[in-house]
Parts: sequence; structure tokens; C-alpha cells
Amino acid sequence: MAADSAVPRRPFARLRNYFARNRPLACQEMVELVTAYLEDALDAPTRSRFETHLAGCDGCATYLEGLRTTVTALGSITDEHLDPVFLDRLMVAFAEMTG
Amino acid sequence: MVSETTDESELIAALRYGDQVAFAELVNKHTPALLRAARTYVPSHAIAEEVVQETWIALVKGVGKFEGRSSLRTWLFAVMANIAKARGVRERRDKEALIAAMGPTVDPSRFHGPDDPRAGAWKDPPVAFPDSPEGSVLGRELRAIAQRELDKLPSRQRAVVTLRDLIGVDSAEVCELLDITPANQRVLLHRGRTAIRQTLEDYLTGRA
Repeated sequence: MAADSAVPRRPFARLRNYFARNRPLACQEMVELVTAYLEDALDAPTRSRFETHLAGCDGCATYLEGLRTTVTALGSITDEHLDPVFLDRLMVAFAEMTG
Repeated sequence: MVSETTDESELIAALRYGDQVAFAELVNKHTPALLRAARTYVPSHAIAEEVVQETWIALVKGVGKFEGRSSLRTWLFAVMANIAKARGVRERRDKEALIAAMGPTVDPSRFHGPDDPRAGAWKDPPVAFPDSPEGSVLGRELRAIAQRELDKLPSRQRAVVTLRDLIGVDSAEVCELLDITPANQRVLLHRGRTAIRQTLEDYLTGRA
């Protein structure tokens, strides 16, 4: 086993992996990572590639900002007022239980 | 935050003695969010009301045993979820979640194709959303459109987006409530949010 690993079968595999890990992200990949980014769920190297791309790309920065605005819009949806008929029903149920 | 918890534990203590005012206060505080969340599990508002009513009954019956190790809200949501699930939640949910995980969330035609030297870069970049402070006309419009689009989402996406972004439940709790993995939760949140973002963008470009 030790001898095997000393002579790699794919001589440039490590180098290739290095470039694959550090290759810049395309915008098309960025848009699928935005939620993981906002959730802080990206591993450190991917996060760093994400932020490098973001810093130099207006399109992706705009996209991320739009997603943040979307989350804000969703958060501003307020709960409807509690239907007084339903509240009454709950109060009656409570009165019946506590006698 | 601290005082809120204290207030709540006093209300719960009062509830043990059958205090009606304490009950009404807790009901007023938690019922709207419970109804909204219940509605993502069951097919009608009427059934959601029944589920929420059963949840409150379970609290009143079990309040003597409620130890306050979790927050009351967490407890209520967990009980509500169990009751809703027992009511026959739509069965195709897992299948739906898998389907939801496939395909890109942004139309591929908005990016340069694989033969282009700029492959994968924006060809048709997104438009910037104008400032829309809460309470502004535009803010209200975006909220209304977001709400309409939310109602159209597949049920699992709707459930995750509702719990996370409308009610403010954290991701770990959502995973527990919906019996999903963190990765699946993220996928559903991603698909739901991005679908709504696209609708907002379409609205803003159509308007310009």
C-alpha cells in the first residue's frame, strides 16, 4: 500500500485537484450557491472562491442583493389578525377543560 | 428577549392554575404563526384551525408537565407538527422534495453557453431592485407579490420558506419540524427563495 502511494498512477492528479479546487466560479455556479453562502454552509475554500467572484462581479452582487431584498419582503409579511371567532372557540374549549 | 421569556414563564405558571387571561394572552401571541405554519401541512384553513385548536388543548392538558426546557414556541410548533402529520399530510412530499432538487434555479439562457469563451458568465444580468423601504409603496407591492408567489410554491418549499423567512424559525428547528436533513432544508429554501426572487425581478423589469 505504501509503495503504491509513493508512485502516483496519475502523476499530476494533485496539481489537477489543486486547480480544480481553486478554479474561479462561474456566475452560473454562483447563483446555485447563494443560499448556502447566506446560511454560512459553504466550506472555507468554496466560500473564499465565492467571495472572490462576488467582489469582482456586478451581476452576481446584484443577484445576491435581490435575494436579500426578497428575504426582507418575505419577512415583512405580517400575520393576519387572529380571527375573533376562532379566538372565541379556543376560549370556550379552554373553559370546558378547566371547568 | 430575556424579559419576554420571563413573562412567558409567568403566563405558563398562571395557566397551571387555569388562568383564562394568561391563556388568552398566549393564544393571541402564538396562534397567527401557528396557523400559518399549520396551513403548510394541511390542505385547508379549516383543518389548520382544528390542528391549532388541538395544539392548545394539548398544552392546557400537559402544562403541568411542561418544564420549560425548550421555549414554549418550540414546544407548540413541535406538537402542532405532530398533530398535523397525524392528520394525513400530503403523501407525495418526499418525491416532491427530490423533484425540487433537480435543475437550475436561474434560466440557463441568461448565461453564455459552453462554446462561448465567457461560458457560464451572465449574458442577461439581473436588474438591481430599487430601494424599497418597509412601508413604501414599492415595499408593499413587493410584499404582496412575494406572498402570492409563496402561496404557489410546492408544499415543502412553502413550508420551509414560511417557517424560516416569515416566522423566523432557525434552520435546525425547521429540520426537526419537517423531518428533513440540513442539506434538504437548504435546497428547499434555495428553490423557494430564488423562485420568489425571479418573480420580483420579472415584476420590476415589466414595470420599468
